[in-house]
Amino acid sequence: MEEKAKTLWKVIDTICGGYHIYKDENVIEKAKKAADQIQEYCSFFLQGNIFGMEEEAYRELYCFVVQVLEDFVEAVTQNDTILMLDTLDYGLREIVDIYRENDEATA
Amino acid sequence: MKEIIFEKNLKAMEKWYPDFADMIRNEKYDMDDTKVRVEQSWDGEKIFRIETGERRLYLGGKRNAAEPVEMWQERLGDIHKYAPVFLFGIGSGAYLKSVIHHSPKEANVVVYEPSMAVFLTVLKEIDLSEEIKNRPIAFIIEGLNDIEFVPVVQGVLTLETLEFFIEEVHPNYKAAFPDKLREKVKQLTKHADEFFVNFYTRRLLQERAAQNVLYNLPYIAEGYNTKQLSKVIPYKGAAVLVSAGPSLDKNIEELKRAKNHLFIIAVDTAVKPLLKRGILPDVFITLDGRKPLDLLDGAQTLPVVSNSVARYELLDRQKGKRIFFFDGYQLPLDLYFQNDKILPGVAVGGSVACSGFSLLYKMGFETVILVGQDLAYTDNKSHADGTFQEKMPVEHTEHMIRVKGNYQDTVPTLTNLKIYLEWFANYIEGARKHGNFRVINATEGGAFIEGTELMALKEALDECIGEEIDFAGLVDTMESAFTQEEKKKAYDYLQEIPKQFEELEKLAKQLKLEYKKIEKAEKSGKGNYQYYKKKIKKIKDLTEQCYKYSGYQLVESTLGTAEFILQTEFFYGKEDTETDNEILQTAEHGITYSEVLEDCTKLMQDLSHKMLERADKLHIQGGNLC
Repeated sequence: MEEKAKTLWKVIDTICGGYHIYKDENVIEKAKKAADQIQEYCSFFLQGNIFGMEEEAYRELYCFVVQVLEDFVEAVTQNDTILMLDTLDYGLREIVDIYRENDEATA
Repeated sequence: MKEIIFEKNLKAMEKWYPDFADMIRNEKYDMDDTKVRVEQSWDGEKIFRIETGERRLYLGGKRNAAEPVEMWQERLGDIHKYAPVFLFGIGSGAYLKSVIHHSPKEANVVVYEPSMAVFLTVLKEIDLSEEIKNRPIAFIIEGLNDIEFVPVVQGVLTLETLEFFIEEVHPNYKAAFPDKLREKVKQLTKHADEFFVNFYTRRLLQERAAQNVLYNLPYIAEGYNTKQLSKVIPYKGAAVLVSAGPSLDKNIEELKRAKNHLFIIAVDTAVKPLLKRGILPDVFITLDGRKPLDLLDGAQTLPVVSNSVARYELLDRQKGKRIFFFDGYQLPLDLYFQNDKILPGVAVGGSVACSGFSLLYKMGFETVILVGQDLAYTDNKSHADGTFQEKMPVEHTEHMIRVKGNYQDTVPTLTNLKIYLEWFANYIEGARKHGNFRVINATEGGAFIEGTELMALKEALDECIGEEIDFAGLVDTMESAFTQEEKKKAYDYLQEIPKQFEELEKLAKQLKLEYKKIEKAEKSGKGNYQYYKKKIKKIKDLTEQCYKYSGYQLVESTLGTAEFILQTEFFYGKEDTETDNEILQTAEHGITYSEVLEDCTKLMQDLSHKMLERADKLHIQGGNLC
């Protein structure tokens, strides 16, 4: 998962950084190409409370991940650049950080 | 609450644009069918989500609305004091607020909003009063005052502010309002591009414009013009326009077949490779006041079609006829007015090929075959081999814009070439409204010109070549538009030209005096509104008197560069040496300008005397000045 988190972090940086810094507006198309990776990574958190978290905390995480996936689909369907950037930068990145932070802590 | 915000916003707006605020209050607008929902982002900002047609789009980040705006502002960097900032789409107001907070108060911010519904929601939900009460923000709203868009663009985008120009489209607006946005962005870009190209073309041409126009006047007084040319070329079938694009290399040999069958006009840069292959165009056309002479070595016997601002040394060398058209300069036109005649014009599209194309259309040709008209860097080259260099170098084109190609999906090109491309397309479209006009593009590469048929040159010639006609011989038979008596009248007019510049010198001195008086009054504290008003009227009168002389146009064009330097220095300089005394600044600026004007009129006197020597020589020799 750490590797997957690292890769997704780069994907987010490329898409969001590309837009904010270089005005690369090809956000939706680039995001679509990463859809399988995102789905695979997020699904991991939806298979049950395998982390031994408190029920309430897990429920919150579960809802957060579902919301990210729903927004991703909505952004693609509506061709909504703002929603996509927001979902990637402030939604998916939070989930990616779970394993990236672990990774950084152990490094 | 909504009503309070709405009133606050309108009140702030009223200070600058009372009519605009009234129109909103009185609901004098056309409402569109965009639905706007107001939500709150997770970071506590008001954001809009709009529904337009089938689309539902956010206009602010759902989780984080503030940070993307900060990053956008960071990308924009420092906004210059005199920058024109065009913001397409007001969104939830956050980008506008940010740009107002991060730009100097002098920067002109123009907001175009394609949806009245979004704009009204902003007025009701987002308090902009603090931002807009102290500076005029130009709001152009579709359905309310969209008709003002072009005038506002023309007012805000000036010579001095062009280089600071910023254009930004609010995220998601391209998806939400594609047609309206495209139309307005196109209008803005067209104006900016034209401004840019015209300005730099003018500067290039102006560098020696006055000298060229004055020195070419004796030739113009001979009375050969494009209408006279048209009279001796009765053939109205097809003609060939040969340009110097890189694809010319691919089919130049084929052009031999066209000689003496189709009228061939070459742009000046294409002449050298044509001559190298033994192909003599029937005429060539030139516009550029700085055209390198070696590009036309060996072309001295060819007739040349020219504007008045073309390089005089080039025309001096020509033994063939010098055929002129009107290019906007008044003095050449005056030579014709003396005889109650007019100097015919051709359209100007920025490049010599545009004028050549327009000439062929005006001569009545029903079909024009374009060769070497790439308008792009085909095979990454700028021109055909044998033009500026024997073998033209391959250039880096990665940074260039790309347009649809004739034989490739896209080809690299430059902004000015793209403008010429659009000029061709528009000209063809316009010409077709008046009758049949067929344009065969036999350029074997390059950019696709809307309205042209793509065809190999061989096929085009197979189809269009008819009987043999000695076009060059026909051009030789061309007569002057002037009788001997009329020529004399035109020469007599030339004698009067130095006097125009003497009068202009006197006016420049008077202008300087008036500005000096303003400066003195202001420094001594004796100036008042009535006094300045009187002085400004006097200055206006003097300026109007300048315009009565046709020669003033040459002074103005020469001053163009000087004025640009003065004005941009003024704008840059203000950044550091801000003084509040605008009257003093205006006076100082006016004095400097008057001094430059005076120097310029002296220079023109000198040039016009030399022009008379040239005219006498030409009159006596009845031939060339070389």
